[in-house]
Amino acid sequence: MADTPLKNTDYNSPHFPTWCPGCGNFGIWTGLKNAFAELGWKPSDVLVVYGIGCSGNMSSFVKAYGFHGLHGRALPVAIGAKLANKDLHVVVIGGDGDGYGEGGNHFLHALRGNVDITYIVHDNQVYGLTKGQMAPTTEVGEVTSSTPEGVIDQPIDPVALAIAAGGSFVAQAFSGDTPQLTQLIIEAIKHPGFSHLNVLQPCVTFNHHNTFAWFYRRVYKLESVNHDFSNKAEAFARALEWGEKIPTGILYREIRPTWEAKEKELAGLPLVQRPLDTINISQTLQSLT
Amino acid sequence: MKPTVNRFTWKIGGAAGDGIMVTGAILHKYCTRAGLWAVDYSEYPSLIRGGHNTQVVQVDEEQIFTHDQGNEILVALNEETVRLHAKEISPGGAIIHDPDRLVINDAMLADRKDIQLIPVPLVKLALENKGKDLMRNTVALGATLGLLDAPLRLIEEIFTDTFKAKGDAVVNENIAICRAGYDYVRQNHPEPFPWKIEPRRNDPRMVITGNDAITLGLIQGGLKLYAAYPMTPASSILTNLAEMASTYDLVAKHVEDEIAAVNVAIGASFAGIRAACGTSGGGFSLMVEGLGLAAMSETPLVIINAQRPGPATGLPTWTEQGDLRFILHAAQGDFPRIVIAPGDTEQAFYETARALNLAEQFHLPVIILTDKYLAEGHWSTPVYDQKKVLVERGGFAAAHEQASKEWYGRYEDTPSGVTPRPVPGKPGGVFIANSDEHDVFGFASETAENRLIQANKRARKLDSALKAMPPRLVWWGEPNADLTFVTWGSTTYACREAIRKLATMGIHANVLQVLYLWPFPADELKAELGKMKKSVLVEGNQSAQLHGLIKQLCGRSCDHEKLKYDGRPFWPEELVALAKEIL
Repeated sequence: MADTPLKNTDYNSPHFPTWCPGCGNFGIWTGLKNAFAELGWKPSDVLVVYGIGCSGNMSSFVKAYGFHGLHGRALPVAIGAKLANKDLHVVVIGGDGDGYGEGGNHFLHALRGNVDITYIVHDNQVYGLTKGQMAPTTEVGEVTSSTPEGVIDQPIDPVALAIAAGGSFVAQAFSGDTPQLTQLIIEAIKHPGFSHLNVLQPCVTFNHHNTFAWFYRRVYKLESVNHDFSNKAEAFARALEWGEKIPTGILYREIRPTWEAKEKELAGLPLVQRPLDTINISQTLQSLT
Repeated sequence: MKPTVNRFTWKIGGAAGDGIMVTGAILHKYCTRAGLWAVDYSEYPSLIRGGHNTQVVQVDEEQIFTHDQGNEILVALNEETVRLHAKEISPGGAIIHDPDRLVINDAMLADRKDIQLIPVPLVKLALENKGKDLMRNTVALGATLGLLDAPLRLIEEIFTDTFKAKGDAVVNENIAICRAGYDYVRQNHPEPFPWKIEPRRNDPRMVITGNDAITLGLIQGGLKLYAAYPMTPASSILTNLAEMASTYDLVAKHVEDEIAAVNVAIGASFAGIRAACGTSGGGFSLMVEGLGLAAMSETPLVIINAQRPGPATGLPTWTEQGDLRFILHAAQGDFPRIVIAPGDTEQAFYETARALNLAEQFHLPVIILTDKYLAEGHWSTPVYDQKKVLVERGGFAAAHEQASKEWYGRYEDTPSGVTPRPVPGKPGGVFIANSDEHDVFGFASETAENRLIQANKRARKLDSALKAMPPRLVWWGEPNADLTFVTWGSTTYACREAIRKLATMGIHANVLQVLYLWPFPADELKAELGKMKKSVLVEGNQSAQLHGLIKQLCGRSCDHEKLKYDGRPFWPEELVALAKEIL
């Protein structure tokens, strides 16, 4: 721990974000740095793995160990790093196209596996960096540059999907409410297991439907309705809410053993600290004679 | 007539699920413990039950490298085996079959009169000795040993070693059932058989597949995490490592797909451990973007690609060397990679361990290229010397260097191209590993000047790595040959077997194997080609992929070319015939 309390600005890189003015990503960037400061993590205590997209561009704006991988493939990189060093704090930043489209398979299996990492998804319901095409979360009928006659496909409901697929921590935040977002990032990070935080994050350039104003009129906090996040059926019902009322907060949480805890080879020292000069395969060689 | 001692080929044929591969493996082990050399190979369709499966075990007193087409003993568990393989039997050879299950007539033998039929009630003897139906294979094994006049003592030792964990009852049941087949043949077919086994005293040898050798190379080389999705013929590396994970203190992770496999390995390697992934061509196709990620982020990575015939699903359980050009060029852009193609199980072991060193020291991807023949065939081989495997760690930033810098210049230009890397989680040393082109700290950068610095730095690592590589060309046989087989990968085995056979005919041939296919040893190869009296290029693909490389990079070609891409490994006989034709 640092001697002096850490501040949000201790996680700034020399580069200021290149996102559009007013972009919802700024709120997530702020929330993430706030959370790190509040947790007392030094920049070298944490690895942030990024996908590709506007969200992944955050890799140049945060001071921490970073891995800016491939589109859709941030989760497996993060899981590999966590298994190599289970003491390392690992947070994943991705987008909706990145994580629910290109990387959908990894998302499903990460939920099952329950490796202790945190997955924060910037859900702006559109492709920003490639200039405004349909995302897996774009609403039916939306006109985008790749769907000029309107979207036909039903949108993915990320949080309902996460609960159904076996997620042990599923939450939703709104980037227009940084204090709540910060607290949810902290809760997600503290959760022992795979935590999924879907952040509703308006794209001010390409999504003129799901705007800040649109969300402000709809979002409500789950704690205000005394939601029981240990009740999976109730959590699922809340997760399906969209349209007039959109829930934010922890939808579902259960404590179950992490993948690392159940893999007996991971008991003891992290893999990265184990010696490589004492390996002796003579017993196996002998068994082959 | 004196029998032929310690030189025979045995073949068993049946349906998938008949358990024939286990039987062949035990016979192979028997012969190896009897001080002989052996190889075995299975051919099977992509099925769990049914189809036509065979396994061949070839035995010799001299070291042999691949099996012949012919055989002396055929164990036929079904009619198809007789119809397909009776024609391959040497004059005087035998077919062991169960007369209660399979009646063999002249038509099935294609009028061969010089084959002995050895009917043995395989199932009946198994059941009489309290075994299950499937134990008929063990009866057939006993019958084989009886026919070859081989001592039963050794097989008792093998059953004891193999099944002792399952208890004495299982050991004794196997011994009794094997002995029933042995005694039956001795009593009912006492006439001398033209082939026999006489055990010899020799140093212990192992029976091992290419995949086993790679598994052990990974373990001894310091691997701590392997990520894979099952795909024939690479799957047994995953299952081997999963089985041995607790013994050797490592994690074998079966992940959701090959894209995950390569990215999990990259993440683990980035965090400081030695990690690898493995697959066949279809899975490698999915890993391709990850290959480029390892190169761009300069993260060490070892990938094993066990080839099978493509394109697409291809011939899933057969062999080919058709991925060479694909592996050399896979992923967008230019970047350094190392491609190693072991030609035998020993090279598979030592080079896999070395691959982990090279990847870690030079921060680049290393691909081990094998194929189904090497991956799944068994060879008897001297016991590997694990002392020859050195885990040479390298490429890391010293802890005080890392701690002294808030932002670490992980991609600073260096003369060798290798920039020491910090390990995340240790104090200081923060940087970004980036799939975007990046500056010295890893921040995305699109300037022309930086692009050239970084691209040149990456490329320079390959020159630096050259100094850590063994000779990239390997010679087999004596120099100044009248004919040289130029080859790579598992086809080296067939070429080595061919020159052994040619020597007995007074023909002097040798083999030049390209062990490191990238960086391509163009200058050395060009010089060697210039000295050859006659050369023939032999490889298992349709488009002569190595030959094309030689033409392109050496400006020379071999005098002749022999290609095979029917899913089968080369037969030594066809290479012998080719050599005779050329000379």
